[in-house]
Amino acid sequence: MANERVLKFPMSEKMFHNINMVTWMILAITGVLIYFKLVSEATASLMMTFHIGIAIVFTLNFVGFVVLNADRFFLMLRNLLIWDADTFAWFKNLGGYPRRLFGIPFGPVEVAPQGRFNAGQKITYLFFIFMIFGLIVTGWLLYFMAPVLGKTTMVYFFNFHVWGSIIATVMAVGAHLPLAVINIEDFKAMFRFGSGDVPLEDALHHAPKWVENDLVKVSTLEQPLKAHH
Amino acid sequence: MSEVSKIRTFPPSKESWGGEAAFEGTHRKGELRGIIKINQDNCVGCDTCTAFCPTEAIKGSLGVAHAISTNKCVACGQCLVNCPFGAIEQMSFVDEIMKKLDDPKAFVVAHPSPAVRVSIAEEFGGTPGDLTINRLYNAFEKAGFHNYDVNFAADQTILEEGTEFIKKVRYWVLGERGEDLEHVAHHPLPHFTSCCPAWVKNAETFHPELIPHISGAKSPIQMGGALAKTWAAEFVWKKDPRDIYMVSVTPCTAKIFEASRPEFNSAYEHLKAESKIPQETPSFQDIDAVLTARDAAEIFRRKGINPLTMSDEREIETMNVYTGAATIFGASGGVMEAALRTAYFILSGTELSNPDITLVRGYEQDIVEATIPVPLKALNGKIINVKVAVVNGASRNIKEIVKRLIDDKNQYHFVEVMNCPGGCVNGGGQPVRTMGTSWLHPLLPLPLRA
Repeated sequence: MANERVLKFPMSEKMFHNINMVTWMILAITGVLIYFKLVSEATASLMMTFHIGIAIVFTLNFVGFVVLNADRFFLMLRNLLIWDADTFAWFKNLGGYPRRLFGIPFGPVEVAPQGRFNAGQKITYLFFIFMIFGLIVTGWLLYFMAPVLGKTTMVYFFNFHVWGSIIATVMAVGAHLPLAVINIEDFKAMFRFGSGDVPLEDALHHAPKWVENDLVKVSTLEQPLKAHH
Repeated sequence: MSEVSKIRTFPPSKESWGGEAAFEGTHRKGELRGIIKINQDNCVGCDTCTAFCPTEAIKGSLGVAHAISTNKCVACGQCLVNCPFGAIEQMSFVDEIMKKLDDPKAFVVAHPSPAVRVSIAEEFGGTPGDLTINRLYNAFEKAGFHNYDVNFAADQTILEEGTEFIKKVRYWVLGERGEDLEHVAHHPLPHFTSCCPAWVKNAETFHPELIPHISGAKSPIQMGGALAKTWAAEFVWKKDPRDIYMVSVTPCTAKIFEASRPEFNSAYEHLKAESKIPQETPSFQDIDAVLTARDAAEIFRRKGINPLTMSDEREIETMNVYTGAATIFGASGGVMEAALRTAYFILSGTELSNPDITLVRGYEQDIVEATIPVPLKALNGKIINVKVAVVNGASRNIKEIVKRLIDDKNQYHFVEVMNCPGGCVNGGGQPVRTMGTSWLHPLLPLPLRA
């Protein structure tokens, strides 16, 4: 078991995540610089051209992931949308993170067993997927359809696009990134070149129900395990 | 039904009338400029406004605060009406007029256009058309104004414009010659309407080749201003014309510009020529100030007046008598329809059996075309087919009409041009809806046409 590993992030998910991360940050930075008028008009104009160009990559990345890897995308959605008693029980101690990180004795010591994603990740990732979809839709509608949207619709879409992306970026940088670093095996699996696998021991600790219910052993020790769901 | 938006305004500054030079860009000395302004702090650079500008006067790339080129702007206000963020502001004379209303010497006259009566109720929580004209007159009177309906002058306009068209038909179609037709020898068909100030400014700046085709008749408001300070001052109100302060109340922001045009001081010129005012009297305009429908509502609010609650009772007055033809000026095709009624009657010698020329109505099409058969009295009933077009919104339709005329100069006899889609009723001075892109479509936006 010591050398056994399980595949957590297949290549399609790694590609989607990492391209999404890079393009998101570029879009967020250019968007903030433009919206808050932090650069000259000429630079803002250039930034907007860049923003739109990167938005094409951002959109194709999401659409490509959904269309070309529909099974993976819907499997991910299934993992995010199935909520059982243990998922809700996670909130009793917020996965033990307050105790672990800050020494705050919040809720029971034992963490309820979780699936591939814990309850906090489920909420966050659903929010991120919703935001990615929403930002793509509102962004292109604002770009192509602004004069015929109707003014109030236009303002709602604009505010969603600006403030929704700012909130999501703060969540990604302020919560998702630090927690990902804490779960260092997940972090390494996502960003290393090659297979996105994690030690089975780590998977059993963080996602015992995933290991128990979803994983199938397909190869021998010291070889990556392929997940079949 | 969506809400009515608050539109920010600003008073004119000294620079608004320009300097001492005879010309500054596309403006002559004394002409107001910068009537519509984009507030750089509030503009998010969404670029919506550029789609509605008929003259490509708005500069700025996506995401960058936009600005209006004073030289290109025709002050139609369509950008303001369609700005989702309320970032576009309008020059307003409300403060100046409030002072005039407090001046006991001033005889302040409200000159309301027909499109205002159907829209101003919205500023007070009503639905379009809630207000009757008597309630509006009574509200103006309570605020300290005297009333002179623009419709009265619109009837004068149609007499002038219709007669001019008939003369052009006689000269250019029937080949008649005579002293009374000499002045149309340099003004060929097609005959273009002249009452939309944004269209006239657009033609002057961008299509000067069309100027000889444009009617020489003034707009109803300008005819009204001159009549008020001459005929009405002497025979109706019995007032010194120098004390009369004419306030046009319009659905249109371009009328603010029109009122400042230096040639629109006919009353002054006439009164001086007739020695009815001292020769040293400084020049005054026929229209002294302009209120948009929104501005008029602001004056009522400041005076604590809700026109919807005013009495509907009122005696008929000399200055408020008019025909139905005048009222339809406010809608696209209205000027054309009114002129055709007059032209038909004079050319054929008979009234139309049905005066509703519905062919030229409507705002769903960019350019409406129609052919009206008119039997000519002078040629024993021989029929000529009068070919007309109504240009509904200036944005790309003016270019299209010009292109058609280059292809075939004889394509039309008469062309009505309204800068704003739907006509004056959808003007830049009307109450602004929060949802639709125009007053005509409070919930659903117009197609990308304006």
